[in-house]
This record gives sequence, structure tokens and C-alpha cells, in this order.
Amino acid sequence: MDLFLQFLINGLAIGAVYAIVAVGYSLIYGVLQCIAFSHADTCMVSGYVAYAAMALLGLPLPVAVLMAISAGALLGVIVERVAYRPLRHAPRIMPLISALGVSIILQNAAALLFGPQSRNIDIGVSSLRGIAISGAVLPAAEAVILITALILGIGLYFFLKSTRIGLAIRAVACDAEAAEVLGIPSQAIVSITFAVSSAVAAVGGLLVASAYDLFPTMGVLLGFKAFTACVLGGIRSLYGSIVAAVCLGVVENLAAGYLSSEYKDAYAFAILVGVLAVRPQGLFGASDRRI
Amino acid sequence: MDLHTVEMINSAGIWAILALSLNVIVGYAGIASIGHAAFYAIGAYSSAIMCVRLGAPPWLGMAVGCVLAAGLGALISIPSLRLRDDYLMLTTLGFGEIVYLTCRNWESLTNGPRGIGGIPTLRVLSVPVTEMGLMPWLIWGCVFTLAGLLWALEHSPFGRQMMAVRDNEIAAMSLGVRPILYKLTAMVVGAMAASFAGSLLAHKLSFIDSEAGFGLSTSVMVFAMVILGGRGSIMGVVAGAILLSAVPEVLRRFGLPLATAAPLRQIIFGILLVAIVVFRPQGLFGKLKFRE
Amino acid sequence: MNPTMRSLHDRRAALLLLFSTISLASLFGCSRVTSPTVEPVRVGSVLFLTGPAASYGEMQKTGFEIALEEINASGGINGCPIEVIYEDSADNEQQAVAAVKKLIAHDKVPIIVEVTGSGESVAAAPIAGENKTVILSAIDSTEKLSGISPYFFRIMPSDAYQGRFLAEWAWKLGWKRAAMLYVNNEWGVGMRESVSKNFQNKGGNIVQVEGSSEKDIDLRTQLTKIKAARADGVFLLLYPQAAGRCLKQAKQLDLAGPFLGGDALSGEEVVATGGPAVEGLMFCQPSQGEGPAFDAFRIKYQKKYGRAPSVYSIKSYDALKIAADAIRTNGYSAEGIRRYLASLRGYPGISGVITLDKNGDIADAKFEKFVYRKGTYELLR
Repeated sequence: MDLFLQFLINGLAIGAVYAIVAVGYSLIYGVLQCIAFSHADTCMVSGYVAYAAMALLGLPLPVAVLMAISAGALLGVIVERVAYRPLRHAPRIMPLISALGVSIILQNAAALLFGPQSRNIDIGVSSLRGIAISGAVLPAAEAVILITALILGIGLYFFLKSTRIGLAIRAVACDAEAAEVLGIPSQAIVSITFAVSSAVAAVGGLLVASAYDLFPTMGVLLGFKAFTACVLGGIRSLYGSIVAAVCLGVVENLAAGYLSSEYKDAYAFAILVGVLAVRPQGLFGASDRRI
Repeated sequence: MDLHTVEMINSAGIWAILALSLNVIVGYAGIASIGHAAFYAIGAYSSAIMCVRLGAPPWLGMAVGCVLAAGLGALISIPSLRLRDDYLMLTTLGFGEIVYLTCRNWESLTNGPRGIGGIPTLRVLSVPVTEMGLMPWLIWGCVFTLAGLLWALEHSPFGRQMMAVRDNEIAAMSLGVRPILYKLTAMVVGAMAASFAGSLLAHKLSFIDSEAGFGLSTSVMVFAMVILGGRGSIMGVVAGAILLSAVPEVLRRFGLPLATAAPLRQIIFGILLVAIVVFRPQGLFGKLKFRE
Repeated sequence: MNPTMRSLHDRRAALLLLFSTISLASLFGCSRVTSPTVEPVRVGSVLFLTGPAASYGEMQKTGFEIALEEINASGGINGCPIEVIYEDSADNEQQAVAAVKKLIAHDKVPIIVEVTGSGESVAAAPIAGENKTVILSAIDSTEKLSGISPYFFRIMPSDAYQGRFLAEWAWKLGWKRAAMLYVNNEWGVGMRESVSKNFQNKGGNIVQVEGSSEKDIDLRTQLTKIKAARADGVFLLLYPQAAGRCLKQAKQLDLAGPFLGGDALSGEEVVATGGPAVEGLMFCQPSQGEGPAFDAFRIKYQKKYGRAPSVYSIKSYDALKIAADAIRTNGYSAEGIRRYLASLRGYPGISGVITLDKNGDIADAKFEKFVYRKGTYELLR
């Protein structure tokens, strides 16, 4: 039983990370109807900014975190301007290809600047003992992930429900033209959405960099799994994507635990292919004739 | 003509076959596939397993590879009808990775990263195809044959209908054309050609393992060759293949500073991709504008 | 012709011209200007200079550099300085093969000192053999390389020896039931087989085997299963970064070990990624050698690079020195070098006395035990 519990705990932690990244995919898809392929690399870039701030410049953690989040938001806005906006009216695979290019640039720039080896950000919890839960252990680092994700989730909920910008984002996601008619500058909202999503992703990147590892190609699998979660939950449904992401983390770990751990990454791919074959709009998505 | 130059020629030739095969899928059927290395892997491993483990003659290994790849290709054509371009692209990524992970982990079949060695040299009419001898002729012979066949396909009525489906599926359907047939054909043809390239690779290297180039980076590379060269253009994608495969090796002879070469090269590659898509979506030699 | 068509043609023509020029230049041009003064003696080397395993390339290159300095400071080889032509394989087999071919065909070197990577070496060895070029490997240890070609030699003990040593060590520690975590590549799988076979021969039982890919950042699933198996100890057959990561995560899961690994664990990333969790980690390495020559090397290396040399730097130093000796003795030809290596007995390397057997392997393999204490490793007595 404690084996199951341990897999569950590990799965919830990584699932929370997937959820944080999935938020960005879902929000961006909402306002732009396009998959922001390079979104997950924002996590990696923010991680390196924090690492550089702490390890190379010796700045304290809170400053580094602030720098990382700002850098992430800024990167999001720049990438939107350079790689997505010019292709607003192009067929949908074009932004995907340009995002692929952006991804390659970011990953290799990080490799060039910092080298390919893994780095780590110390947030001061590595010496803390984990919490024992009936035979399984919740490591301190994973507890931090779960708490942070929860706070982010609550913050996001109020942001979208109560603030003007949040409402504007939802309006544009619902119907961009109608929003324009009502005086909402949809282009600016798109930029803001990128900024917000990237800032959230930056937090995710920091969590991964501290609890797991930071390396240039960190975003590849992370992004793919977060995207799979969106597909599973229905990319148009923000909360569906979040729930699906957590489930994906759990399923992945259970499968790797009870079946084969070598194929761990393959499970996400198989789920993606399976969902797209059977129910492309996802579990919580509305039924479209064509996704 | 030294060994290294011949290596560049042979290598570029195999990439050209891969690029032509992907061109059928991307350029003719309009399916943006970044899982193409899966078919390449199937061809290589079929040849390796059949020839080394079962002692089969090379042509049989190639044939088995083609059949298996065609099967997988047919499988992928099914979601291509229901999914839109970007979701489809990510599905192909998923397929590609599943095949790669299988090659890597199904050790009893593929030997995983330890690989399969001793793949026999090809023989054409009892003449061995050696690297410095027949191989460049054989490989480029195949390139031109394939190019010719594809040109014929392009200009055939079947081919024209395929383009119609690619350009505007709904309009084509209204004229009585059934998309599944064309997409299926494109996937199958592209898959078989890629499998053939994989078999050639296996016989050329005489030793393959899961890390010999069957993963996502190869798929992205071939895709970039097609986009850069101009999808839909036969000459374009061959040029794209030569450019992207041979130029780094040519630069190696000029002795660029090594420590920064690889990430720098990739950054240039990434910039190229973005620039092409934003400024010149038809690629270097393509005639097609993407449908608006 | 309308203006867009013309500019398209121009662009096409320009590109074709550019491409042809580059190709022609590479085929015909590019020969080195032979200086009227002394022509250096050249050997080749294919290393991981970029890519995920680039730290190996760096360790090897630093070892070469010290050897080069010493050889050239004392007059080189019969008056000619020695030079290494470095090629990057970026941990990619096809690139390694292309690099080897370039060194053979374009640079015409008689010997390539090291083609890094077990997979790369296996692919390159037949090519070198066919083209009568020697490959002298400093650090590749996979069993498959034993006797792979009459032109392939190596001074790193085969994994067969290391596997046996690890199994015996574990047995002596009182392990009866062992778990194993290995990296799923040529080296890791080879070690897995070697260690398992030897451990089972001694009477032990391998109760849990878990694989991981080099890119895996989350090893908790594997570690959870290993913990549940309640083994006496864990064989850690991973590369340095993954090992450090693994130990950190094991600590978080309350998996105490003990952990026992191979020579890869001498890499500095172990401590860099693992931090304090690395305390107590045991591993073995081929004997580092002793005596004044080894100490001198260690001091020189520490002074120049600010850290202690790893076994990879030490072996690379020896390999280049052996290559230089071969050329000095039998001349600058592949055949001469091959004969020298085939009969190499009792060469005093800083990594120990080196004798090569009929398979081109190092004939005896002595290993030493190390343990990590307080952020660095020391000999375990």
C-alpha cells in the first residue's frame, strides 16, 4: 500500500508542475487559437536567470525569483511579437514551426552560455526531512511544489474572475471580434496573456530547477506532457487542463511504477495519441466537428 | 575523391531520400509530420534484424521494412482527417517518439543501445556496394529515381487530385474527391521511401543502434530540410537536404572553433526556421504559398 | 518575366553559386601550406567537445594538453613538435564516423588517439581497420571492443573486469540481495550484464533492476521500487549527473543505500548535483598509479586547471604519451605504430604499468576503491 502511496505522491508533485505549465498553453490557446510550442522553454530560461542571479551574481533568493519571473514575462512578450504575431493570419502550422525555431534557439543559447550539465537552485529545503505519510515520504521539495501550485491556482482563479484584465482575457478568449467591438484591445490582451502565462511558467521553472534539475532541454518533455494534459482535459478548458495535468502525473508514475519505468515517457505519448484518436476535444472540451 | 568527401556525398544522398519522402507527406498531402524518423528506424531495424538474425537477403529486409512502415503510415493517416494541422503535427511527434522509445527499450528485439552489428554489405548483381565504389552511385541513383517517380506522380491525374485535397479539402470533397484515399497514399508512399532510406543506412553503417539517429532531432532536421528547400518542390527539398547535411561537414574541413560550433550551428538553424516561416514560407525553391 | 520571377531566379542562382563555391573549395582547396620549417607530427582525436557529455571531452582534452606540453618542451618527436587535431562528435555516432573519416582521408593521420564513446568506438573501429589507421582508446570500456579490430587498442580496462570487481566488492561487503539502477545506453547495459552475471556467480541475488534514460530527471519511481525491494545495497550504474541527482532524491525518499558504482562516478558533477547526499557513496576506478611521475602530473594538473585530475584525464595523458613513444620508436606510420602497440609490455604510465594483450586490451586491470567524504572522494582502505 505504501508503494502505491509513494507513487501517488510523486505523481501529484510532478502533476502539479505539469499543471502550472499547462495553464500557459490553455490561456494562450484561448486568446490566439494556436499552440504555443515554445512555452515550456520559458521555464528553462527563467530557471537559468535565477541560477545566474544566485550562483553567479550572489543575489539572495527573493531577488532572484523576482528577476526570473520578470525575465520570463518579458521573454513571453518578445516571443509573441517575433514568432507568433506576424503569423496571426497564416495557416496554423506556421506559428508552430516558428515556435519550433524559437525553441531551438533558446535551448542552444542556454547550452552555449551555461553548458549542457545540470544545475540546481537551492531554495533552502534540501536539508529538511520529508513528511512521513503512512510508510511513504513526501519530500520537502515536493511539498513546496504542491503548496506553490495551490497558491498559484487560487491566485489565477481570482485573477480571471475578478480583475478587469482577467475578465478581458476571458472575453477575448470567448470571442475576439466581439471583444474588440466592446473596446477591448485584443492585441494588447494577447501580449498580456503571454506575459501572465510566462510568469506562471517561470514559477514552474523555478520549482523544477530546485526540486529536480535545470538543464537546457528541460522544457522539451515538460512542454510535451503539459500539452498532452491540455489535450486530455480539453485545451479550451483551463480547469480541465489543470485537472488533467495532475492526473497525467499520477498515471505516469503509477504506470512506471507497476509496469515498466523505462517506458515512462512513452505513456504520455501514448495517451496523447490515444486521446486524439478517440476524443480529440478532450475529456472536458465541448464537441467540435474538427479540432 | 577522399573518404571524407565520399562520406558527405553518401550521407547527403540518404538525407535527400528522406527529404523527398517527407515531401510527399508534407508537400503533397499537407500533413506536417515531425515523426518521420519512425519510418527511417523501421527500415533500418528491419534490415538489420532480418539480415543479421534471420539471415535473410537484403532485399527481403528492405521489403519487410517497407511493409511495416506502410502499415504505420496508414495508421497515422486516420487521425489526419479529423485533426487540424497543429494537433496532427503533435500527434506525429508522439508516434515518432513511441517508435524511438520502443527501439531503445525493447531489447530482446532491437538490442537497444547496444545495437545490431554485422549487417552485410549490399550487392548489386554480385558486385559489392562499397563506400568508395558503388555506394554513391547507388544512393544517388535512388535519389534521382525517386525524384523521377515523384515528378510523375505530381503530374498525374491522381497527383493533381492529391494537391487539390491539400489545397482545399472541402472544395475538393465537393467535387467528389475522397480525401482519405489521397492522404493514405501519401503517407504510405512517404513511409516506404523513408523506410528504404533506413535500410540503406543500415547496410552502409553495418552497425546500428537506437542512438544512430532515429529520434526527434532527426525528424526535425528532415522537416527543416523540406521547409527550407520549399515543400512541394522536388529540387527544393533535395537542395535543402544537401545544404543542411553537407554544410556542417564542409565547415568541419575549414576547422571552425569547435567548442561553440554545435550550439551555434543549431541557433543559426533555429533562426533560419523562424525567418523562413515569417518571411519566405515557400522556402528557397518552393513555388507554393501556403494556403491562406 | 515579371520582377518577382527575375528576383527569384537571381536569388536561386546566387545560392547555387555560393554552394558550388564552398563545395569546390573544400574539394580542391584547403590543403595546408607546408612551411619550409619543421612540419609538426599530427595525430587525430574525436572527442565529445559539445553536447550533453561534453565534460568528458573537456577532461580528456586537458589530459592531452599536459602531455603535449611535456612532449614538445623536451624536443618533441625527433625534433618535430606533436600536434593533436581535435574533432567533435557531439556524442553522435554518425558525426563521430564522419569525423574519423575526415581524419583518415583529409588529414591522413596514422593514429587517432581516442574516439570517445562506446557506441562511437564500435562504429569507428572497422573503418579504421579497413583504412589501416590505428585507434588508441583512452577511456572506452565496453566489452564489445575487445579484439574488435587489429588496429584498435585501448588502455582502459574492459567492463568485464570492472563488473567482476564490483560484484566481488559487494559480496565482501556482505551483500546477498542487491538492487541495480543503470543508465540505458551501451555502457550502462554492458555494466548491468557484467555486474549481474558476476554477482550471481558468487551466489548473490539481484532483486530489482531499474533502468533510466540519460535525460531522466525524476528517478523517484525507480528509487521507490528499489526501496520497496529491501535490498542490501544498490549498484549505481549511472553517469555523474544522474548519479548526483539520484542520491539527492534517494535521500528525500529515505533510501539510505549503501550505493556502489563504477568509474563514471569520479566525475565532478556527482557532487555538483548531489551535494551532501553524496556522502558515503562508494565506487571503483582503475588504479590511478603512484610514484613521482603520477604526483608530478597531479600537481601540474591541479595548478593549471584548479582541480584534481579524473581518471579520464590521467588515461588520456598516458594514451598520448604512448602514441608519441610509438612514433618515436617505429616512425610516423600506421603500421609502425600498430606493431609497437601490439607488443606493448610494461610501459610505465602514470595510470600504472601498461601491458596490452592480443586483443588490444589492457592485460591486467587493477581497481581501487573510493568513497566520497565531505564533498570529495578518497581512497578507501
